[in-house]
Amino acid sequence: MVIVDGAKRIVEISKPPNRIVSLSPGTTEMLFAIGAGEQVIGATSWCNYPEQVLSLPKVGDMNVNFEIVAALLPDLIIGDASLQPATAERLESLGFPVFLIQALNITGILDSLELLGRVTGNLDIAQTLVIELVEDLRTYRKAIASSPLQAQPVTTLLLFGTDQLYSAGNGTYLDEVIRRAGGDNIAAGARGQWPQLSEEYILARDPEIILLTFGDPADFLNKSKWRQIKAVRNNNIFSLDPDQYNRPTPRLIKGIANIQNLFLQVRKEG
Amino acid sequence: MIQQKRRLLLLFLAILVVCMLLAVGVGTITIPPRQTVQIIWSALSGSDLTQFGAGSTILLNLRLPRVLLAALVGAALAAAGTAFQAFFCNPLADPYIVGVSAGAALGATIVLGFQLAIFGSQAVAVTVSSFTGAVAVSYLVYWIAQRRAGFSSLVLLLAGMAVSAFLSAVISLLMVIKSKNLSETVFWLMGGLAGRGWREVGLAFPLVTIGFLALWKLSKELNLLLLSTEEAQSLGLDVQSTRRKVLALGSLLAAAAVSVSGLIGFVGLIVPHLVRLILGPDHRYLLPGSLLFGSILLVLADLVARTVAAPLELPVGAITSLCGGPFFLYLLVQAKQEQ
Amino acid sequence: MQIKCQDVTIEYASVPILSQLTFEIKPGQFVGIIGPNGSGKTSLLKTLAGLLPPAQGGVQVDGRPISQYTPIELAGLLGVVPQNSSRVFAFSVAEAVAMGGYAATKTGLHRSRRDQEAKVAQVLAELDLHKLADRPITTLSGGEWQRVLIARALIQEPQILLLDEVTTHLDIRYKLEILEKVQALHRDSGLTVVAVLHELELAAEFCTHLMLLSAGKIRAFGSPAKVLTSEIIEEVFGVKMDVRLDSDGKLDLKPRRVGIGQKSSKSTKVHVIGGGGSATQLLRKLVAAGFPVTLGAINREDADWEAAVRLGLTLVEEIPFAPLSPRVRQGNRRIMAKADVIIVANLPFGPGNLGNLEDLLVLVRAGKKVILINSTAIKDRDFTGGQGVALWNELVEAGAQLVQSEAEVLPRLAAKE
Repeated sequence: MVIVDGAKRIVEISKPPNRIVSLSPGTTEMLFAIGAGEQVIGATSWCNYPEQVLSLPKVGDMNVNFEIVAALLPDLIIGDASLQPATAERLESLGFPVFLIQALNITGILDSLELLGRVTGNLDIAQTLVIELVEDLRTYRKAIASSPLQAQPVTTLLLFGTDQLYSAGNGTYLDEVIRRAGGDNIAAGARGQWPQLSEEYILARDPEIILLTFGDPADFLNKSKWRQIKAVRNNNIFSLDPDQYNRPTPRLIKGIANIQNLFLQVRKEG
Repeated sequence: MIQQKRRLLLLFLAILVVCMLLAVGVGTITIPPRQTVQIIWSALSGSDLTQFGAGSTILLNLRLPRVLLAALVGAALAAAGTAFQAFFCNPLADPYIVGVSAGAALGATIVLGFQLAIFGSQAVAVTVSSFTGAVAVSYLVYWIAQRRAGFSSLVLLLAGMAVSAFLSAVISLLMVIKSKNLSETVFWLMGGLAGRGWREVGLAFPLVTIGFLALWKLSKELNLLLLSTEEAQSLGLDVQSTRRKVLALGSLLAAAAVSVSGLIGFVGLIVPHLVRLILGPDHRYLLPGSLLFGSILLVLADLVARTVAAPLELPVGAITSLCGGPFFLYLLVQAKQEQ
Repeated sequence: MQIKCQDVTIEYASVPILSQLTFEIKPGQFVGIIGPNGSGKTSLLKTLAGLLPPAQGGVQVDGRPISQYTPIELAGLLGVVPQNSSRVFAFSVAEAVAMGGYAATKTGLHRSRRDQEAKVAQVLAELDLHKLADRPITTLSGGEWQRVLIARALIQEPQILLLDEVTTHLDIRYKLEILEKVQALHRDSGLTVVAVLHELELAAEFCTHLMLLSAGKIRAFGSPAKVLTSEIIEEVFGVKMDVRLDSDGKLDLKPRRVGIGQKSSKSTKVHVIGGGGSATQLLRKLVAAGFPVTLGAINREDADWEAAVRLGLTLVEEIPFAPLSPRVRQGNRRIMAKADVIIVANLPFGPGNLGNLEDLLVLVRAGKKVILINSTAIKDRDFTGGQGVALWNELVEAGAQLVQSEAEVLPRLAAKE
């Protein structure tokens, strides 16, 4: 089978793979979600979902340990398009086909699931999952239409930590998650995909809710400079599970429901 | 005495061979020594390797090129360090002193930041670009120093520092602008041999071999460079042309090393210094001694880098700097006391 | 093998040190270059070695301009022994000496390794260094190191040996030992030797010829007896020496006390502005006549400075080759103010020492008695682009006395007394 991967590379796969090494937590989750978990024989030390992954051999983290990969004799290596080009080149030069997916937004996640289904021989399960997720997305849209979120989205500040104030900007899957849940992502107005927001900008936009993937909400509540923000005044600061929300996976799409509930709660109070 | 020095060089060579065998035999994946020998024997005799499964790939395509590359890079850095120490008549000079590192770093940062590729390969692009950067910057520094009447090594040193500082600023700026690929650049700058293969060995081998042999041929000239300019000239040395050659060869060696391995610090500084303590300052023995010792050091450092925290790998540049930094300070204090 | 200099002018940092030297060193001579500190002895030696190209004129070695030789060719002809060069790297004595063979290995006359080693061993033995062969040079004493440097030059098998003050920092025993070795080489193998020497006694003892440098010129060149007369020694070095020719034809030099601290018999305080040796004779005459004399402002190492130091005079000094600084000028003004008469010697003026004239003008206008010696017209001594001439004329207008020669000075002072 000759197939074009998510990074627009042409990959040749001679037979359905049954010795897959996955090089990112996101791809690992997707593979298990489409029923290819049995075929996965190696993953990174960051891969922790689902639980079965934990017992698999670890092939490195951001940097791949080539010896371990080679020792596993994989017939396919699957990774994210953010994998270092040099790493992909090196693995291919050792004779292992490398297949990359690109899941920068929700469409990308759905496409990647189908693509992985095709490559691993699990197309049926993958397509069923995609239909289910599309159904979920339609449910979120309906929920917005029948609520105050339609007229007045919740202004949302999402942060990856409380010190550096990095957020997810326009074009990222987290930006899309916030919008599809019925929120207005204030970082979408900043430049860049992963902008570092200034304190002044946050004060000026006055978010109604703050979502943290890392860090303690108390850090926000206790600082006098944030006291006048609506989110702080109304104690609307929530921690999100970083594993669920920082990876482009089906779990992320399912997790939109949780965020939508938070938004509806904020509107109800307001 | 000469007999003794030759014997020491043979000893160095023997140690290097042992270290390389050890480094090929040890790694994250354990391959029994007997199988290691069998695989190498089969490869040499051209027989079928498939019976060994993953072992042959790991040994022949991962470890062997990596160990060879470590030896080449260590050799190049140590030989370049020796050349620059003679050039500056200073036992504490470093192969990166004339901006080779900054030039290579800029070349690599541009390729990584803008995601460029040559023949569809980014690794090749990084190597070519950093090599070009290293050679270009050292030439620029030399040209600046040359423009002043009466070329002096002090001006060269200062020009090297100024150009390096300027380029570091440019690199930082590029890293901020192209922050998406920041981690790759940071890892490259830390220096390492992870993921390097036969291609890099093929690029480095001819450069290091030619550079070293040309430098070795200049041994007597290098010895004379350690005297004052007037003394060297009165003994028959064409000082200016010798210095030009030494500078060119030293930069070539340093550039070859940097372009395949990133910035690995302290090897080029410490090895010649140590070998001088063992073999004396005569370059006919000092150069091959440094070559072998540099190889030994980097092969061992890389072995530590890839095994000590396995399955994680540490950048080998961090290992050498971790050991080299305190040792360098010790040398400085020692030199102060001698004065 | 001969060296010939034709109209050679040597400059250091664009300041002329020696000008218009013409001389010839013939094969088989043992020439000692002598002269006061700063008279340019070492610079001349470097020019002869091809290490310091002259600003003007030409040096010929064997009838061919020295600039046309490659370093390797020159190294086969000239062996240079520097003065106590630096040692950073710990070569062994044998290695350091073997470096002298570099040029030979680069020419057709390639020695075999064994020949080379034998040659090194022979030279080491000759200079009594064979026991030190394996010692690192960084551990040698000054005398041992100096002998290693001579051994290195001998390995070159040169036809001319150039030595730069090789005895200066050595104990008297080593001084004699080294010069005896060199003399033996000169006598036995016909080696031509040119040596910069500091001590007149040693120069007289060992050299066949002496070249005495003073005030940028060759003051005398010839046999020791011809050069080292008590008149010339007194003129150049400012000391009286008894010179006697021994029965075996050797010169015997015995210095007399220079008279430092001697009481002045006259009361007129005289200040002299000099430089470049222009005031040396005058200073001596003034001291001899019993006047209390001061000198300044002047650069250290200048020939006049040297003379004044030897005479034990009070002087105002600046560091060598530097223009007079405001602080030095202030000191000079103070000393000049105390003087009864100020004498300006027949010295050249450049931007560096013009300040002396400026300070003088203020004093002349205040009524200070000043005598200007004008044996050379001021316009021929002015290198400031006219400023010197202008100041000179202003001085004359303000009342400074002009005399045409040094000889007129003393009678005028006597009249005042």
